Amino acid sequence: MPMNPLAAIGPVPPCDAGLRLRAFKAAFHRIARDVARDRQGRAVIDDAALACAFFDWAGQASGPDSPGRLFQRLLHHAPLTMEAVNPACAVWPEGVVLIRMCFLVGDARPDPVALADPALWRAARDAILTDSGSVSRMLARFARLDGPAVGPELHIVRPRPDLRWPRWARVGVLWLDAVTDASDLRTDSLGQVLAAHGVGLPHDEVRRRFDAGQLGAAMTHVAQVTGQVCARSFGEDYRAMLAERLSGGLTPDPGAERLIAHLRDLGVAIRIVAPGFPAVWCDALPDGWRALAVSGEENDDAVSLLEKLTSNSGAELAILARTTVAERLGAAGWSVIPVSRDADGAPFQTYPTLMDLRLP
Amino acid sequence: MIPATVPIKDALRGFRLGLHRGRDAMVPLGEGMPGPMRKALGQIVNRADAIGARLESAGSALVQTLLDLQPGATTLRGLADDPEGAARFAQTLYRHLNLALARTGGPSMAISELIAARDFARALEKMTDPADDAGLAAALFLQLDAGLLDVTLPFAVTACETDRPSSRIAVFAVLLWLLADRDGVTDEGDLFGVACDAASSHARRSLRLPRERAALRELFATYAALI
Repeated sequence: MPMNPLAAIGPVPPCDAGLRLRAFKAAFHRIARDVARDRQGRAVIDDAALACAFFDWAGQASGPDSPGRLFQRLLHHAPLTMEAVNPACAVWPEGVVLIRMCFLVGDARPDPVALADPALWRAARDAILTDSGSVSRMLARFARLDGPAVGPELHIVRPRPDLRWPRWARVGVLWLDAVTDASDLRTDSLGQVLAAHGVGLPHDEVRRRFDAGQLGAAMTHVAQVTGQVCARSFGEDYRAMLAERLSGGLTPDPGAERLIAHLRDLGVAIRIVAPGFPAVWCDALPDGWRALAVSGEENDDAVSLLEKLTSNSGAELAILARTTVAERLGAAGWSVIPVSRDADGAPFQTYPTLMDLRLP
Repeated sequence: MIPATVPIKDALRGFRLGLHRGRDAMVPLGEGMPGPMRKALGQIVNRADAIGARLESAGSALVQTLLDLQPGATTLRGLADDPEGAARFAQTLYRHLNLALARTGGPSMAISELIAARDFARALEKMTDPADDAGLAAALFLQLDAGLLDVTLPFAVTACETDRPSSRIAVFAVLLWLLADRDGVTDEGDLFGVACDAASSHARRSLRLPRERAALRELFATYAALI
């Protein structure tokens, strides 16, 4: 027992609202309530234990490791128990609340993609509960280090408009360009091959005309412009160009890997599709994605490829695609829903938005 | 100046409490008695229950309508500046002490408003710096600790040895609530809850409440700055 109770409380920190127990408690209750509601459970809070954590931490509430110290004290006093949480959507609900509290008192901002990543939560739970010294390291993994996680401007496309939202499909089809940096690379490659065959087009024009139509449409265009049937080598040249450009592999878009893990955790079967040369794409995929089937045939365009998938799978599909593909599918009568919430030129928060999806 | 109504409230509550305690003591005694005696004791208990219910109803109505002061300041500073502050403090303490005991995990207790009011007046008299609210809280705590919690009057239940720590924590919680800054945002009930949480956490972390006035004053000031 400390002889001097003040020694345990520590020096009085600045009395801004964030360091008052009343504000701390209100924030903790609000976060716990929100997390419990999202996970269909109930938060049981021991307010005296919460106050213990607060007062233990209050004397050390400044400095760069302040959030880590707070987490340690919260972990020690365990003020929160989540009851009746739906196990399908809960990895470590108490940890979610604790880590959100830590971000509230620190300078770093949380990465919404990381916060919604079940794999990262599992790792955090296992690391922190076995070694509380790993708290700061795990907090850093949840922090937004290099600006907001952004994705391309994406749309969810559904084969039939009568599918009731948000009763989402159990099969998710991800257009390759929706989750990797392949779009520019593919457009550049196709532009170079077109130029070599006598049709020089600006980059944007190549993208607009052929991004979804792919190889067959490009060959038809060459034939129309040059008045000659496109040489058989066109496809081979394009494939060789792609293979060369892809030799370094594809880089997933920021947050794409987490999105895929999230969907798979929710029981959604994932398939990645790309029209033209599936073997080439498959070789360039990140390691963890090779287990996902890459569908497509050489001369498929987007619409015919996705229609084949729809009829073959017999399942309700939801397709994640970039604007050009989505527009083409929309023109073919598919239902197109923009994912991004940003309408004012701000970075697209596509993946964080998708992380919010709740499946029945 | 303590209003003459304050001892009347104490007497009414003492009467009611004495009746309840006598009744509670009689019930287990009757269980070991032969039939006729058990029956007679049962009848007395039933009459006591009926009298108690009437007394409860009439006494509560009298206290609430005629004897209680109108609601006033709920801060230590406001009470210190109020000519009726001593009685108002006693009334506030009476109303909130059992709430604090319920929140901090202690058994309920009955207190004398008269003693509480006298303790407030005495603590105020001892203050050399009238603006030192934390100092007043400390002086008041020590005064209550030495007076209110040791009462042996027939109407009041003396805190037994095992109750004493929880009673002190509950008194500390009420005084901390009265001392806390009002921010115009936090609801009074929420603020009272926060003060109780702080007091509970102090006990739960195995910290003691000091008995020296200077140390107590610093403790009140520290907690008041943090809650």
